[in-house]
Amino acid sequence: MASSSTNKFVLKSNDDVSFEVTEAVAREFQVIAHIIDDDCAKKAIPLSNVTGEILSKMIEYGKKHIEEAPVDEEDEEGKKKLQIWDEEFMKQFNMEIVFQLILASNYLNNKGLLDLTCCTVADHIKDMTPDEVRTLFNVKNDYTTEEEEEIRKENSWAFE
Amino acid sequence: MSSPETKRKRTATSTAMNKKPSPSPQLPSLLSLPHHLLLTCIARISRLYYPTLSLVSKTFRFLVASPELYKARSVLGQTHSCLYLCMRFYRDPNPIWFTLCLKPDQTLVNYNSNDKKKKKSSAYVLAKVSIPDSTLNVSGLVSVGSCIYNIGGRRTPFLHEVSVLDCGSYTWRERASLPVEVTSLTASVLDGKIYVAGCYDDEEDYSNNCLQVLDIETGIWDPETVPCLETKEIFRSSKSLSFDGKFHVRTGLEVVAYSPSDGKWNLAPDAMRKFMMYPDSYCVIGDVLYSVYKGVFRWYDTKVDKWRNLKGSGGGLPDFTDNHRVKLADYGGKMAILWDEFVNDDSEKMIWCAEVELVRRKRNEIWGIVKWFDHVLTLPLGYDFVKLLAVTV
Repeated sequence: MASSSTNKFVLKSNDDVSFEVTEAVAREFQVIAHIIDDDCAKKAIPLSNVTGEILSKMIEYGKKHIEEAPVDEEDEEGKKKLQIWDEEFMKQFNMEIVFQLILASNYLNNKGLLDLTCCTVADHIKDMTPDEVRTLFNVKNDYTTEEEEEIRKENSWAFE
Repeated sequence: MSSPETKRKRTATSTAMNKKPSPSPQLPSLLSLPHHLLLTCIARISRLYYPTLSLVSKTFRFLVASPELYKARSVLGQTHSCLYLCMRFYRDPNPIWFTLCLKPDQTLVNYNSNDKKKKKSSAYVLAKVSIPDSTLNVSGLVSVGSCIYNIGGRRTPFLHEVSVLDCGSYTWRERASLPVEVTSLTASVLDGKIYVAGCYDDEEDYSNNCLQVLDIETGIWDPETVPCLETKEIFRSSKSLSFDGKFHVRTGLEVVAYSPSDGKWNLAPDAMRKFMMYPDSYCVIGDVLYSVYKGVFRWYDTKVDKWRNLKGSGGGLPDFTDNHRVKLADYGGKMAILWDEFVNDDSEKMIWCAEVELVRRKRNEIWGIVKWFDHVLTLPLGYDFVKLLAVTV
């Protein structure tokens, strides 16, 4: 434990931004943990799929989850506090960033952040009209005019 | 389908150029996410929103009906109860299915990702679902997990076909037929098995009862039917329910209960039958039998063999005193209530639905707490409620 909080690693984004992090934070990302375990982490660890902007946010998330980790499974208060922080953390991002965070947390394999970012997308989609979903998530309506007509007739509840 | 891989790469390079999070005119599309990540996002949305999602685009429509999505939901532990209503319209031989869903409120527009303004709560509605036509045997519809079993199927002139509707992909699959063809049947689930009580005529034209048992896991019918010599009344137009470890059949004059543990039929106490009146105006939720009769909600206390009033259930709900068409269903441990009322000079009917949480406060006291009730559909006259049931998807 002592070594993982004093050992430092440098993570390098694909646009050449470097971040020095403790081993514990680095290990929040499974892929990096494997690199460390394989003893391939002598110098800076290059992360070819993540920009500096995204990486800095991921490190912020990782740090918080190390520092404020709930004491144990029963630490409901700790869990709640972290959950509130997570919600606030996600509020600062637009969808473009959320998508990049999803891709990056999938790439670096951080389950917590992947869950959180996917939940953010899910929370946005619900309560939206089909049109709103198309606009916010840039989804093309690929129904033909006839199909759309048919759908509107069949699903009048949605368009009233 | 175009390859999600190529799309993803393109997005990754183009977005990497955008250093600033300011909204660019060309937002990355949700569909540019790799397929498994897109599924993970959609799987986290309550299924109540899926009917709306399927209207977004064809891709979304396929997505919300894809087996991988339901696998993802199950892996993420995101399965929920989903309510279905099967209706029949006069002169239409095919039943029409509806599912309960949430309709987004459309009073607020221009909702963007940074604007956390809470929308008004959405409204519950019944949305039509496209389920391939199938000849239903109404009394043989039972829900098991994410599926609806249709036991009996076509009348040929006997009932024996079995088909299963997958409520994720909305596809029917055939299953092993009933070993004994019957003229009338009723089915219910008990301890991983479907019990089917029915009657058939023998060579001398005498009606006989029989009980057939399907193991849900293996899909195999017990080769031997359960003897029903102790049952006096014929299982014709009867209804079955499972609770208290027994399979109950309500016939015209009595309720008989089969106990698989000792393999015996017994006559249920007379009191039980009293409030098992109109079709589906009684149901079992969490191993307790509930009923609504002349506007009063009750539950059956098996310890003392008597009906007790459900406390607090009237709170906020309309008066059902004269409504004989109120239907109840187990909605994931809560009670779903469905009813209709005449509107517009009796030319149309409004259909209503409510969700009631059931809380046992003392051994002999159960409270019904109305979570919501909503007008879910308006229809012209000429339909019939066939069945209300919930599955877990």
